[in-house]
Amino acid sequence: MKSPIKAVPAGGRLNLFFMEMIIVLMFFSIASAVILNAFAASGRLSRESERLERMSFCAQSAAEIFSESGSLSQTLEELFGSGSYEILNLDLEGGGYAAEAKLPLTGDCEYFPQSPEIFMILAETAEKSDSGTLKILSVKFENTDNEELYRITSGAYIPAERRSDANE
Amino acid sequence: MNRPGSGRLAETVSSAASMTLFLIFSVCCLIIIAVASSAYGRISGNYDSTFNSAAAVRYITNKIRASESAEVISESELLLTNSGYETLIYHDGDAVFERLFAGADSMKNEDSPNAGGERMFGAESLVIEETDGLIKVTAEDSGHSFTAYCRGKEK
Amino acid sequence: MNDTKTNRRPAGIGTGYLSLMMIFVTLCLTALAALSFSAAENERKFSARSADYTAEYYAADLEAKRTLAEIDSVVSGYSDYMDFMLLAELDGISGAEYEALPDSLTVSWKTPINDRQSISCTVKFSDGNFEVLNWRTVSSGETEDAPLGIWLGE
Repeated sequence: MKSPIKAVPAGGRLNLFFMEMIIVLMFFSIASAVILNAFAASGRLSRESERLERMSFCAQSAAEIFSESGSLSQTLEELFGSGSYEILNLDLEGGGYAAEAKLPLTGDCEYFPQSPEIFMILAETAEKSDSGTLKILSVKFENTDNEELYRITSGAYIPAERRSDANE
Repeated sequence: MNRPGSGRLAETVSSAASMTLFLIFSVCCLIIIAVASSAYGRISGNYDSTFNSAAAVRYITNKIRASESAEVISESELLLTNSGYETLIYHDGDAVFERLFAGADSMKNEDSPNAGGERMFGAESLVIEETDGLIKVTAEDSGHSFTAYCRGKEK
Repeated sequence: MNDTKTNRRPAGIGTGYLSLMMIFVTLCLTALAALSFSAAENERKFSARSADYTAEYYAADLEAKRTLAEIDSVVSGYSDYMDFMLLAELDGISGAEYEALPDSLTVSWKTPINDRQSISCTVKFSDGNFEVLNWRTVSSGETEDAPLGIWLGE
């Protein structure tokens, strides 16, 4: 018994509907590849923008705390709490002083509620003179490929001990 | 030999199949448009809430940097003094407001100083704290929260 | 026997409706994708501008502190705030203005952040110590009064 469904109706004319559907689907698949790319790029841009905003605020907070305290350890304690960092003291040529801390940013601090998979590197150096010490803090953010994402440099001036009869 | 009935049946099945395909295609198109519009809504909403809370924090910290003195009145009120004018930044309801007062100490003479200000940014919450000479500003809107420190300024 | 009427219209969906629907859907998706990309690009520009300003501000802040260190180094070498050698050295510091009194010395300077803003600093030295009187951002450059465009009746 023959199948009642005929792909080719009487008269030899092709069923244009199915042909049209095939062409439409082909064109739509090409167009949707481009459109999906645009959506994916939008989502990625949005995430990167928010991450840059958070890096900027975290760096600003580090710079402000450092300018008041003049201490890298106090800055880190205020930002992330005690015990969450390790400071390496580096010896520079000519007897200079430097300290560095590299923190993997996880998703449990108020600056980055979701893990951004980046590292925050804070480095402190000092320029001493007879009248005081100018401490320089460099705050840098890097991704897992060691690519620099954002950096600021700030400082704190700590005057040397002066006469004790000065008025505040 | 073809029977007339089987020809009509074939045409009916063929048209039913094409209509079914058309219906499936229409439903898929509608679903795709709905998904794309929700993706756009999510990106746009994310931008709005990020902008509101981040801009609020930036605005307040830049205002503190430009002022002569900054006084934290309460957890959501900040009084800035600059060139004899006082600016009160406060949070009320769902937004951050700013109100200007002419003359020093004029804010304290007002009955309700935190009313009638100009709406600056939408924010669900604004928290201003002062510790050890630093002012900490936290703003939140639609789940996006941003925090920044700024050096305080005493009168 | 087969139907021989060749001009009989076949049942089902006609030609062209699918193409019209596809064009409509593609236009909708393209518009949504363009709007999403535009919103994301605006967000990126805002974030980049804010982050750049933050970096500029702290670089200027560091320079201002460096100037403070230089001024403090100069002033700490003198016990008399009106010593002309001290004032001559302060004249050599770029941008520094001073007001010398017998018991105090007030020094002011500005450090540019960008072409629109700068940090204005004022420090008062007395009794061998210093106090920061002013450390705030100000608009740099002169502002000209823009004409209001009021009709004067002529």
